[in-house]
Amino acid sequence: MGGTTFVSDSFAVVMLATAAYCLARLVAARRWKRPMHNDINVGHVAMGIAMAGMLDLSLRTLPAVVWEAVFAALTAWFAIRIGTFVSRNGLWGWDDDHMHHVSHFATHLVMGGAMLFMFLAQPAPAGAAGLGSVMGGMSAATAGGGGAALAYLFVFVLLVSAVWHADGLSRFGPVALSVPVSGSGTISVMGDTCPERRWLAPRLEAGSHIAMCVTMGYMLILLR
Amino acid sequence: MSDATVSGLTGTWTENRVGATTRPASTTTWRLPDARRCLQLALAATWLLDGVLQMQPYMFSRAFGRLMLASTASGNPSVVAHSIAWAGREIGAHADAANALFCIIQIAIGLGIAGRPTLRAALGFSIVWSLSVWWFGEGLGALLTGTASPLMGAPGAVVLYALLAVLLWPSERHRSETFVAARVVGARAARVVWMILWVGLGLLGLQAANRAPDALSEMITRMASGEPRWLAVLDARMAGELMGRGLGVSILLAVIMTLVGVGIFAPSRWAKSATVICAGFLAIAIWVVGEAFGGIFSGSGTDPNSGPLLVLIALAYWPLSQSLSARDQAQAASAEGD
Repeated sequence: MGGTTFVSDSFAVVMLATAAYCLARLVAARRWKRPMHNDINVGHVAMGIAMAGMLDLSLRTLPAVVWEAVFAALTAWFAIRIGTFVSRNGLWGWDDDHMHHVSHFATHLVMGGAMLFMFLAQPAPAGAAGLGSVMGGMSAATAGGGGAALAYLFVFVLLVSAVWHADGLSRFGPVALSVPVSGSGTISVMGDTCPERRWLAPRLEAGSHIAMCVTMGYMLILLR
Repeated sequence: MSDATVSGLTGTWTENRVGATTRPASTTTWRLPDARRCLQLALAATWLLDGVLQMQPYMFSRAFGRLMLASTASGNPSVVAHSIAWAGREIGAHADAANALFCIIQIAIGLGIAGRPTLRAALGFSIVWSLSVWWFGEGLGALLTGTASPLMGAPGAVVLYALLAVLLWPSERHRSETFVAARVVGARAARVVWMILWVGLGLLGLQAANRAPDALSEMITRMASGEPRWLAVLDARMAGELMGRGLGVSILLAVIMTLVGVGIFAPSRWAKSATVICAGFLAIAIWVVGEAFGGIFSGSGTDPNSGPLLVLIALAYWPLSQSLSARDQAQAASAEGD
C-alpha cells in the first residue's frame, strides 16, 4: 500500500469514526438532556461522511450535487448563527453557555465553505477509486487560479482553530481544590470550577473538531 | 476522609459538617492565553501545517529522500555531506514508513505545544527534532557551503523553530521583562540573539554567491518554477527588476538587516517598536518575493520556510505596554502560586 493511500485511508477511517461519534453525541445529549450545539454536531456528521467519501471513493454515499446543496445550506446556516449571536451578545461577547465565542460559529462557517469549495473544485469522478484520482483532478481544476490561495486561507483558519481547541482542552479537566475546614486544616478534593462542566463531553467534542480540522487541512493542501 | 461535597457547577463548594467553611482556598483554573501563549499557539499551528504539508504525495516518493534531501549535501564538508547522503538514501529506501513517521512527529509536536500539559515536553522535543532536520534535511541551512542566502531561507527555517522553542519556553526567570523573548534568557541575552540573527543574515547576503550581478535575479527565477501563475508572474517581475543589480541590492539588504539587528538595543520604546515592525516587513518581503511562500503551492514544500518564523520571532521582541506586561506577569505569578 502506498504512503498516500495509507494516509488517505487512515483519515477516512478517522472521519467515519468522528461522524459516528458526533451522531452518538446527538442521541446522548437528547436522552440525557445535556446542553450541546446540535447544529455543530450535525455539521460534523455531514462533514465526516462527505470527507470519508472524498478520501476513498468506495465510501461515497451521496452524489456531489447533493453534498454541495447540504454544505451550501450549512454555510448559510452558520452565517445566520453568527448574525444572531452578534446581535444578542455583541462581537466580543460569550454565548449563554459561557463556553463559546462568535469565533466558534465563524470557524464552522469556514468549514462549511471549505467543504463546498472542495466539492465545487472536484471534477466528476472517472470511475477510479481513491484520493489520487479525485485530488489529482482537483489540483488540475484549481491550478493557476486563486483557488490555491483560497485553499491555504481555509487551511490557515482550520489549523489555528485546531490549536486553539487543543489549548482549551485543559479548561475542562477536574482540579484539586484545597478547602479550609475549621478545626482540621484543609482538605483536598477533586472537582471543577467552571460552569461548562455539564456540557456533554467537551474534551471529546474538541478532539473531534481537531481531527476534522487536520483532515480538512490535509485535503485542502492536496487540492491546491 | 472528608465528607465535603461539590454543591454546584460554579465553583461554590460546601461542606456538610457543622462549622466547615465553604470558600475554596485555592483553585487552578484555565486562563485565557497571554502574549507568550499566543505565540506558542502560532508556533504550534506552524508545526501542524508542516505535518500536513509532509503528507503530500511527493514526500512519500523515493525522490524526496534521494533527490530533495540528498541534494542539500552538495557543497558541505565531507563529514556533513556523507551523513546527509546516507540519510537521504535510507529515507528514500523506506519512503513510506519514514515519511509517515515524520508526519506523525510533526503533528504530535504541534498538538503537544498546543496542549498545556504537554507544552514543555513538546517544546523540548521540537528542539531536538529541529536540529536533526537542520542537519540531515537542510544541510545545516547551507551555512557551510558559501551559498546560503537570507532570501532563500538562511540560516535554515527549521533552526528558527528551535530558536523559537527556546525563546518561548514557559519560564518566568525574568518575569519583569517587557518583551516575551526576554523572559527566559533575560533582555540582554535575548537582544544579543536578535542581533546575531539579523546581522548574520545581512552578512550572509554579502557572500560572493549572493552579490554577483544576476545572483538574486536567478534565485527568484528558480523559485517561480511550479508556482501558481499569479505568483510566477510576481516572481518574474521581481527577477527582471533585480537583473544586474545583485551587488547593490545585497549591500542595501545587508545595511537594512544590520540596522534591524542593532536597532533592538535602542533606548526608547518607540525605536524598538520601529525596529520590530521593520523586521516584520522584511520577513514578509523575504517570504513572498524570495521564498515564494516556502514553495507550499508547488507540491514539494515541506514547510512555509523562514518568513513566518522571522515574523514570530519579531513578535516575541515586541515591547509590551506596561499594563499588558503587568497583566501577563500577574497571570504568570498566579499560575505559579497555584
